[in-house]
Amino acid sequence: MSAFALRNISKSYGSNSILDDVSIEAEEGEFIALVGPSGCGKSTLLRIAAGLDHGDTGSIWMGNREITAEHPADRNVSMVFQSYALYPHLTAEQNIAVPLAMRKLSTLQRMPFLGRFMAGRAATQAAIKQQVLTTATSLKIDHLLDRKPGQMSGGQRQRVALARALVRQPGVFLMDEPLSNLDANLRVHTRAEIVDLHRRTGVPTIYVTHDQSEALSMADRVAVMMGGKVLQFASPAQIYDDPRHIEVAKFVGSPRINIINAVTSENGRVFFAGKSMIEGVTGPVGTAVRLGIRPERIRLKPEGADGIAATVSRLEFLGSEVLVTTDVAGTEDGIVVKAAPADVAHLAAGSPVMLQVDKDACLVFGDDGLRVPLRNPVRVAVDA
Amino acid sequence: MREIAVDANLSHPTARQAAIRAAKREERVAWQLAAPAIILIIALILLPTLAVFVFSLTNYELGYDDFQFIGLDNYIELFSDRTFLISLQNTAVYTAIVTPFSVFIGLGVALLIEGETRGRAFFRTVYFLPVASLLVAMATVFQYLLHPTIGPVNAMLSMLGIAGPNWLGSSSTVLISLAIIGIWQSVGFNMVLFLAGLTAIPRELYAASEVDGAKSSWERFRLVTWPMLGPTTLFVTTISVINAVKVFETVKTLTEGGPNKASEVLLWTIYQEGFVYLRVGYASAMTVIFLAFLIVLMLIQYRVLDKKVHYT
Repeated sequence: MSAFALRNISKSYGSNSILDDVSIEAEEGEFIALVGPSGCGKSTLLRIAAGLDHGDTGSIWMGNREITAEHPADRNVSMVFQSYALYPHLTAEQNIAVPLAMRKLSTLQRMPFLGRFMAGRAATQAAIKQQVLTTATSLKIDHLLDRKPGQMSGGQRQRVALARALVRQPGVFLMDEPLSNLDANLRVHTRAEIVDLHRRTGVPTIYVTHDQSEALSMADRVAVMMGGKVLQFASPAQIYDDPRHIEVAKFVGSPRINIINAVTSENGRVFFAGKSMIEGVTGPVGTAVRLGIRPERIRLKPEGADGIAATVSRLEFLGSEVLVTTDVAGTEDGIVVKAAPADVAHLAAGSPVMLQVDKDACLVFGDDGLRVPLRNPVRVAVDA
Repeated sequence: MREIAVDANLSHPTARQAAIRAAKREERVAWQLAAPAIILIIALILLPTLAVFVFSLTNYELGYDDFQFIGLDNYIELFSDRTFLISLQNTAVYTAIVTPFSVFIGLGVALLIEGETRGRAFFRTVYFLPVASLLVAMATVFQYLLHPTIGPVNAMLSMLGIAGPNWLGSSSTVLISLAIIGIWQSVGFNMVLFLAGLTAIPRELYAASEVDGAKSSWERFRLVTWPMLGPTTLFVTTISVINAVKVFETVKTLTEGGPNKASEVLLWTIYQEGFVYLRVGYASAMTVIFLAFLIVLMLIQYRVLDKKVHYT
């Protein structure tokens, strides 16, 4: 039994299908990332999980309790929004206290003026204040408690939003692109903090992002969504090394995976530029396939060595590595190679090179985009 | 770069002169560009206001060639003038009724229209009709509706066994009747302003409030809508107060200040003094008082309240 589960969720607006039979579950203490291009339905799925939106079919479970029909307030979920969604008229302290006040104080106790005279309010409020302070201290924002959101920086607002989600122990954390409004430096920093926070609290987390590097670096498991479907739901290593679909392979990894069109021959061999790239591909001879090769699985060799003949068209220096874009006959966009700076120091645009592809580097995809199985598994899937 | 920096440090005379010349040129262009607006403001707003103030210090009457400056005599007379004091009181009562009702009914209607997707344009138009209609023309409709014997309002009341009052004819109900017409007229305008304010509230705040535990729509209103509408509400209230203080058309067409001065309001009194009795000096003094009231109200609203409704 998983801590939080979305089962067979479908949703469509008229004939426009937003989610198509999506199932995602998070185990106790697990960090799940939903990643995909914009419009893939990941945010809608998160809103359905929170109860802000409803699927046409499917069910939502918190442990063994079905919460499909429950109001967001009753679900014991907390959510961090992309825009932070802090109440601008309240101070940080009051913002963080809202989820507690809404639950622990009665409507009468929350009344302005009148509430002050309701029995038990003072004690509850002192407890809330203490809890807010503890949470704020753990996020290092205790010095900001008197400020209003308008007087805080983006990073500070984001922490207040996290504190508000954290202040009561929720059954699941839902995060909707919480880092996309931060600048690049702060984003990488806050990324690590969120992961730390998650480790400390152990609350299962569903994290929506369009940034594949965020998903791979933070999550225990990643669900890659496209066109309202989950194409693959697996560990980051599996997603990267063993993608089940060409779209998954293309979506994760930077620079993007190289895709080469080819045709199968006897023994399931696939040739490209006269070289045998892989063997044991199943299916009839003459099938059109697409080979996916990660840029770091290709070596650059000097002219005259064995390999695929290519011409360097562009060099991009990234510090620890260099991206070498090469023109290769038979490809449209050429082939990108990730190399160590020392290895390409002598190269310039126009230099002829030879490309050697690592033996087990080719991922084979069929016309439908799905991975084509191999007869004798050439390589074993990396275990998470 | 370095040489320029050194020049600036030494305050090179020619560079400084060039800077001063540039600043002067810019100033001249600024005045030229602002001139049309400044001239219009002076000619159309400041001079007439000044003229009213000057008239208020004289005994000028329309048609006479000659007038004397009589200092503050007009003002002294005003505050012992029973009609003027009644008029002030009636205007205050009228404003105190019309403002809260038109603001809160406008807000309520806006919330209802916002909450319903069907027929939104229809209801928006219907509620806005009184704003677009001519109040003088509509006054005759109200005269019929509120007529003590043939009016449908009293006819309906009598069906319930209630003897309806002489709405516009009795001094105890006339101000309330006028206030109802005033509310009827201004609700639509306030509604449109509130609708605009509502659309500006980020949807994510409502989502956050739901997740945070605001289950009922009342709780969401208290937590999100009401505070976020603060600037709109301040503006709507300001406009409503100004419009209520300026009530005139209904008084002129329906009651003429009567019965027994029970609907004597500021603008009506000013009109009477200035255009019927032609006492321009005296009417000007009233106008100055009227302006002073409005300015004080605006100052209170924008100096004191504005800080409380803008959160950034």
